[in-house]
Amino acid sequence: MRVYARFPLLFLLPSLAGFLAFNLGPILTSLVLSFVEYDGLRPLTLETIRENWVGLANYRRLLEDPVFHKAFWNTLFYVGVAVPLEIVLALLLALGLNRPWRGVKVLRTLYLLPTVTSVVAVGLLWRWVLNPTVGPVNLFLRFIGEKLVALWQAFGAAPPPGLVWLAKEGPGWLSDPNWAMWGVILASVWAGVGLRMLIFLAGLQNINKEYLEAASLDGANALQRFFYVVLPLLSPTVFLNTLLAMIGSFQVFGLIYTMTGGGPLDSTNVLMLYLYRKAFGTFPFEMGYASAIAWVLFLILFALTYLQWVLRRRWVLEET
Amino acid sequence: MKLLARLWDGVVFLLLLLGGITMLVPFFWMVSTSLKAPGAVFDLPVEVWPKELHFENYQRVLTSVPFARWYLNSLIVALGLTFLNLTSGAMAGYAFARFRFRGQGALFLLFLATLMIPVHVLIIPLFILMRNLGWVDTYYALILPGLFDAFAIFLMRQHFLQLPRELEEAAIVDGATPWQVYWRIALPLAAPALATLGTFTFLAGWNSFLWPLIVTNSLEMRPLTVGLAVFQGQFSTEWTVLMAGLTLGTVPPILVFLLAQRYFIQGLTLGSLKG
Amino acid sequence: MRKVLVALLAVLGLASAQKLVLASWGTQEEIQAYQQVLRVFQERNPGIQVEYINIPSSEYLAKITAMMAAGTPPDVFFINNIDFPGLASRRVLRPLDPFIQRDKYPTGDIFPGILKAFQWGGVQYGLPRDVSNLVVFYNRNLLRKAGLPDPKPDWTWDDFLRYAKALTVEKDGKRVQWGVSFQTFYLFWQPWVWSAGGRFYSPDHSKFLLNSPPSVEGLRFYLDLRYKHRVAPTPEEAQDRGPFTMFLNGQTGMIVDGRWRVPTLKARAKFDFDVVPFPRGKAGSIVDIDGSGWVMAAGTRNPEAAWKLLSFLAGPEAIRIFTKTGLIIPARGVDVKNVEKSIQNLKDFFVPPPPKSQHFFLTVNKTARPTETFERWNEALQLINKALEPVWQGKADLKAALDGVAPQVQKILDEVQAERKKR
Repeated sequence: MRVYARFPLLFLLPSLAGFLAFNLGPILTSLVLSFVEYDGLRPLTLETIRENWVGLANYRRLLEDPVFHKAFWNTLFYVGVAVPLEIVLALLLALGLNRPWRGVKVLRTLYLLPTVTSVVAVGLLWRWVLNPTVGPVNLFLRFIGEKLVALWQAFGAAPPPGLVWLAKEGPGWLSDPNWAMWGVILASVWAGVGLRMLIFLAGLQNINKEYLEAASLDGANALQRFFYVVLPLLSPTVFLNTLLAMIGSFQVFGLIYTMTGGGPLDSTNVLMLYLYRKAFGTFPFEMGYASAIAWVLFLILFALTYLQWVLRRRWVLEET
Repeated sequence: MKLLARLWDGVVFLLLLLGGITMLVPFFWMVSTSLKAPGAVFDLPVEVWPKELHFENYQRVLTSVPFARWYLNSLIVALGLTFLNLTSGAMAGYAFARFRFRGQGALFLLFLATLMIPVHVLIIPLFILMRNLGWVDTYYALILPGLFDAFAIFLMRQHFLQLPRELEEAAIVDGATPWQVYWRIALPLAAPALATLGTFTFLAGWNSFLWPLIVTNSLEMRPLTVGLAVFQGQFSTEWTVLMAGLTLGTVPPILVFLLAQRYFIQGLTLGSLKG
Repeated sequence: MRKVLVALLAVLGLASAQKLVLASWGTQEEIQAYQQVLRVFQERNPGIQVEYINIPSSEYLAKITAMMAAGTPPDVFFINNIDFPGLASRRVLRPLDPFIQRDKYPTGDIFPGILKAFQWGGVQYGLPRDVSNLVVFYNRNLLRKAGLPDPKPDWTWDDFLRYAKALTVEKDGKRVQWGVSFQTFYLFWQPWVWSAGGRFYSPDHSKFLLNSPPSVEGLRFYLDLRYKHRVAPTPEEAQDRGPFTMFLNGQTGMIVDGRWRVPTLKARAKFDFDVVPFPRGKAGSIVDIDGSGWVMAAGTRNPEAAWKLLSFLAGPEAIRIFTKTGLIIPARGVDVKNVEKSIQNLKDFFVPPPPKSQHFFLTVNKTARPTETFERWNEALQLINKALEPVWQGKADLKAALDGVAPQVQKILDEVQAERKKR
């Protein structure tokens, strides 16, 4: 393989050409813009850049911006919770749907439906589902709460206040700053799990059945087969899926935009949303500031990715 | 013991079915809204299924706007992007997986890094580039920027890395050029990954909104997502008509999903190699 | 030979035709109106070619900005008065005064409030097409059931409260009908502030005044509707039903809203509805007169042709075509110099009743004033809305919230003043 040194270039040519033509320029421009105060209303020329150069002022402003801080921590929280949830659920789904049943294709397609349904429809519907008074989630939770309270009372004891609250009210979801983020996480995990499952399915298909057969011949049961054979062989896919989920969750924004718009009180404001607001939201736009946010977001993602990359050497099995 | 396994299977199936049904709900709501009386305001509580079916929403969306053209545009853009990804992305992924060259690690990291830059800040510079190339309001602007896609490269590299090399090495011994190895052996083996990638890309292309909005001027060049926005006004949205258009728009992605699944089964049989 | 000559001339004619780009938002019905207007314009001006770009309203400014950033703004485009200062203050629009004065362009019948809304630093930068304002819609059936006559056009806040109380109905200890719908969008509580004598900002936008005594008084009266007199539904009582939905379904007797609701009410309301001007507060009955109009990009390459287009679009003929769609209130009212003709033009405005009293949509324009917008209005409004969010939910005190957000908004105002001095 080392002989054909020219061939890598051939295979890389289209992507490289595309990168140089359509990506490099805009990326560098956005980096430059992060040092400029730019509202987009004047033509983007070298002159405009020179006249409105502000150096690190945008970045300094980020340090003092309370909304940015809120969005920052919200984003980390969201990623830290939504990604593992999505990965675990998607893995379970892929394992479950990796069977040659009749109609399993249709079942799989069902799970991919949310990605086809307009994000506006999904967001609006989840708003109703999470409605604190008439939504099915709280109706169910209140039902459970009432039953548990009745159980407590049947034993002659006073039910704990938490249960009483559950039976009478339940979480405020999207109208409560303490619960809104959980509501958003629920909705986005539900909507995103289908695509994650798809990648896991592809990875599972790649696993050589021989290994599994050998393991069961050696006396391993299903659980052992999973942890000692499937999971290690699947680890590259897990890594891939986690990375993509992470990158995707940092960028997810359509659903949150429809469900809460970032509120209440910025409790669901994530970096992508804040960035969008600065770039295209409140007129006149602040593109320079938005670019600074973008590059900070990039640094965070890059750091996290690098971390994953390093951990990968330890945890991921690769073909030798 | 077998009974337990069958029982377990049944439970799993039931759970998956329940989960699948919840996935169906928004889709169902979208369809039912598209059949409600025109001008129906989005009230709560939600009316599950309209008492009368109003097909005029479909009539309106199909006749009062260039719907067919928008549909075609979406198809052209989504298919074009998918084609680009499946070719340039797969090739690049193969290069990273199978070749060793200087600066490989750095280049890959660079490509990966591009995934992490939020696209919103790239839109205006890219638009200016399109303007300078004279590509505004053309298919070129809608499709060609997708030539480079780090996601595709990443996905394909991952899969090529996992493929056992025996077949490829055997082919080389037999005197095949790298291109022949790629085309005849590696690529077919990567069918599940290609199906996955194709699905993702098609979906993203089909659903894209902001970039097509910025880069198209005429109504005729707009994809479905942007075109349907004419039913969303400043003060009110014609929900029923909008949902009719959106429902019609779910057909190609669903077809793609069903199609892609065949390749998973195919991949299963091709993936098990005997020495 | 002659054929070649004719063809050549035709080609040259086309080549020398001036090309203009026109941009606006608008739903599918408006697009048809635009096509009609442009057809008439092209017939009269064969040397000018107009490319019309319709941009979805949700991302309208994004696209306009993108075109400006690329150095190719639309020659003429549509903008509303709220976003207008952001553009005018950055000197990306071309002054229209030279054209207006040279051609003696008639502006006498344009409602003064909206004409002024498109001025910056005393210079006219835009010409309005339509206005929007607010009135009180009421459900005549519910009013009669409560034994109330139609409200008088000069009714007061006390009258309003009386009506709202009479329209609030309880059943088994729970409210099932409320006097008035409650809306938290700034547009709908703005009249309460103004009519009490309050303001958002000082006229030169140097001082934040929403926490001043008259403003607070006006807002408190509004808030009391919900929590003191309980004639407007609380969030729990509304249960996520929209304020307009509740009015449409006969659950509230009144709502402060605009003419854009008329088509929906006509199609779906099962009751007789009508409108009446906003009730009089201490300072009178002052609602907003906001609107959208046409501006010319400073970077246009064909200012003369662009003026021809703009002046036609804002002229009475084009406005008539737009009015016929039933979607707008025209910005041109009654021309005192030509009452007959202007009433003829306005005839297209009126739809068959209901509502019976549509003339109020036009008469309230006389005392209405535009929203107190400035270059960073949206930014400041966001802060204000965030501070008021808990207040509308009954969880925070009104004066405390406004005092709390005052320093941040004042900071924005100070920065704007400094910027203005620099320019």
